[in-house]
Amino acid sequence: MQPKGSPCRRVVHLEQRAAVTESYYLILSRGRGGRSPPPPPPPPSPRSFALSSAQVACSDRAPVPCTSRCKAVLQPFQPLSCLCRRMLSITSLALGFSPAQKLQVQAPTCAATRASVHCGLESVAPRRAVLAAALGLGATGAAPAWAGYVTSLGIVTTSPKDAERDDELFATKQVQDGLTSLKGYQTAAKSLQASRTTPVPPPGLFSDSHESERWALFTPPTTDSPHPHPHARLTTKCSLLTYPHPSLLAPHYPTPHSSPPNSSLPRPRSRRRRTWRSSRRSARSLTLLRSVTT
Amino acid sequence: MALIPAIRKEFDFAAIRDNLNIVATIFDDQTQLTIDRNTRS
Repeated sequence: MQPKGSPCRRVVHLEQRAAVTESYYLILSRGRGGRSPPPPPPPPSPRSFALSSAQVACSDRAPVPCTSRCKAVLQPFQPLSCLCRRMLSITSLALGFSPAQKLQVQAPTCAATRASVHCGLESVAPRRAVLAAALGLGATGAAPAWAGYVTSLGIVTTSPKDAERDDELFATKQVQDGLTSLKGYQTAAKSLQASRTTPVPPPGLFSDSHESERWALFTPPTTDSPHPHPHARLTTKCSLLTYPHPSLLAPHYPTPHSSPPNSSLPRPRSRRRRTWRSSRRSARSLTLLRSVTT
Repeated sequence: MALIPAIRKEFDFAAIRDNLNIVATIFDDQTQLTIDRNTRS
């Protein structure tokens, strides 16, 4: 049972903690030799600050007693004269160790002031138009960056303007002979290329050695030559074989049902006669072919 | 026209390559690499 009038256990505990903190700073100041002023006290821990300030700032809804055995009852926004002396001294001691908070003066901001700031060029080039133009320019004209990629492993084709020539080696006899030989090769290659500019038959048309003679069959004979083309008959034969007369390829065979039965046209000829005529036509075609080919 | 006999007669591949190697010595190393690559192709 705690005697009446004695401070509560919590207040005693806070007193002891304040004394310990004070002695700690005294020891620190002596350890520095007293030559330099004592360092500023560090900020108290949140727990100690809460314990010390809980004696003053209480809930604003209901009066909260400090402890069950303490007669002091804290009222919200209660004047300090109502508190006991011990609590006041402890609170002032704790506040003395608390860091001084700087008053942060913020620049006055006003919505109207912020809204009234405009760029001078905005009337000429709106921001959205400038952004769209920049994006379009970047999408079209910007080249991709290849700095981080290895594409050639250093093997690049040297341009002729970058080639460095050694004049001493260039004047030697071996190099000059090699150049003369290379020029001869170049001349031979050009002459060979010029000889192959005449039209050539498609490959694989004739497989024997008389390729050029067979190819002459497809060339038209000259009309101004005094002698007829030696292969004129062959050319005619080839044209007949290539483009035969339509009567030889697709003779017309009228059928009995090709015309309506009650029409005014004459009746179709008999089957035997049609067969005889078609056979005669075939025989005539064969005779023509034989006369052409022989 | 037969091309292969004419090519064999006019162009001796070994001689052409020797001449190219000799002529390419007047250039620097990188250019020699380029000439050698063109010769092989």
